[in-house]
Amino acid sequence: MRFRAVMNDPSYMRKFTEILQVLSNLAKTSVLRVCPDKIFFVIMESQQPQAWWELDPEQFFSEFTMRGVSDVYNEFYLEFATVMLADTLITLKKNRAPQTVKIKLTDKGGPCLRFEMEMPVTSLVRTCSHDFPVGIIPRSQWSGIHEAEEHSYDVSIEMPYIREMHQWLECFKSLGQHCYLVANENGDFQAKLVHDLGTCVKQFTGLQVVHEDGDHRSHDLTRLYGVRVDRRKLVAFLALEHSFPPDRVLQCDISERKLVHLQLVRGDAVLHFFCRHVIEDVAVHHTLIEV
Amino acid sequence: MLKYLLKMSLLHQPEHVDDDNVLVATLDSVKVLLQLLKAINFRECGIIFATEKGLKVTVEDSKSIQASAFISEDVFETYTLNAEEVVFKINLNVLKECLNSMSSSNYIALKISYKGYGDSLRLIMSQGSSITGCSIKTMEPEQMLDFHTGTLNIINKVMLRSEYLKEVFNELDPMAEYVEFILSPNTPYFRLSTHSIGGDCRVDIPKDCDMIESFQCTSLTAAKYKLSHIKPSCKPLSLSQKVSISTDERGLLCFQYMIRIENYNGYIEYYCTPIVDSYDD
Repeated sequence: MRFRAVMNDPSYMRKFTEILQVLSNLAKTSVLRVCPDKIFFVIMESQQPQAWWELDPEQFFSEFTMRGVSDVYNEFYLEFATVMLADTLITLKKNRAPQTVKIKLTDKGGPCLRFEMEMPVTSLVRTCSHDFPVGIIPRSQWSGIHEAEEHSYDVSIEMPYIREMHQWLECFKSLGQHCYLVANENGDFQAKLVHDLGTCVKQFTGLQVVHEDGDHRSHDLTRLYGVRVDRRKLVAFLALEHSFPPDRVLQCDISERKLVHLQLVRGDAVLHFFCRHVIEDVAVHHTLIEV
Repeated sequence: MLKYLLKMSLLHQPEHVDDDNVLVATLDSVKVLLQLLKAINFRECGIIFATEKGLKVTVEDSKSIQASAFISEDVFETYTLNAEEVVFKINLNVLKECLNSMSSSNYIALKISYKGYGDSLRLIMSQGSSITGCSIKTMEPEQMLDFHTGTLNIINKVMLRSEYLKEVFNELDPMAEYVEFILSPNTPYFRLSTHSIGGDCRVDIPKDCDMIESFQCTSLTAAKYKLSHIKPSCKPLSLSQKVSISTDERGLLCFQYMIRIENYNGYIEYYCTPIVDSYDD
């Protein structure tokens, strides 16, 4: 296994640190998956990937070399503590950031990621090194961490109103732990809370529907597809929009009663979020509300 | 017989035959409704009474304290009642959360409707990019105590600015279990006192002090109330500009709060029953 990368672009250093800070808000540990053409930071939840960041090493690093566990499996997975790494690398965000950061996988009595930062001090250059202990994840555990199988989704829709939806969801404490996300190919989208005490719906219309192959998936454009997810997790993800304002509109892919996939794109990094359907006691019929 | 039945059905014909709602109202701001609800939300559920004058929301606890918020029909943009009286019980926490989710600095057009017994209370708001809808279950209303008979025999009544009473209440010993209210045309005029292991605390407010706006006391009344029964009254007190305190010969304590939110006058009433047996140290 081998990994060596060099960062010398201050804007990319800042982005890298921002990503780590957001990760540290999401979970205490993260998995770093290094492939020849991509780097992923993965957050796991109950042994399934909940969120991951996809980075293009060619954009972030001026130099990048890696070698996986074998020729056949040319990648490797490391586990690390997010908060520790985020706190130390905060210097990358500051005005007097290092001019170069070298990242290397080393062995210091155990596998470590070494960060060597070269900081110019008048005419001299000061080097500061941090060695982070990491855990190497054996190949037997990789399949659980892989990005979710290419799902076919019933509907993919663009949702520009993240902040509005987040503020709305945050208002409710008495209507249970779950939220429905519902959409159709006509550009209608709903966030819905269903509970014995009452039902509340936030509905958006006229949204852009995304077509993979340029054609509709079904003939009935008004048919609504819904998935029931954990409300708190959804709120935590939507809150990321503050610290990670995206360049493109949030894309929401729904596979009825199975899975919802949300994507936030910012620059050269894509944040993916998955939430699996939580089975309900009583099936809910989805309809649009009219004024 | 047939003629009689026909007459009966005509009498009960709703005013707006094309609308099956017994109550329909629209609002352009939830602030007044929301703030008044928050002030009396010391129990999860409350009873809503809708009359031609507006809405009354009542919350009661332990058959000892009762608070009612009055939202007059002029707070609403439009207000239509298609029945003599509409009463239902509702979860106020949910109603509060729904109204909160619809509050924003921009103009809103919120419609509240109710079809009658067994139906949910519906809120619907359309604003720019979205439509927000809530449907809150209603329940069988419980019998509430009627304290109004007490207001006919008021013996003593004091009106003061709320901020002063708030200061006095803040100074009450939190370790005490009871607070005694004494009102009299003679000294000490208006006295609040508490006893606890921490000591005795007494606040005397003379009738001619700046705090007091009006003082109408006919004879001495003295009664003790549980401090935990007085505590929930602090919320409407904070919201109000003026408060009047009155008692009757049974010692029933009544706070009446005059509240001004935006350009509307709201009103909250708070009743508290006295402790019957006196506990001496």
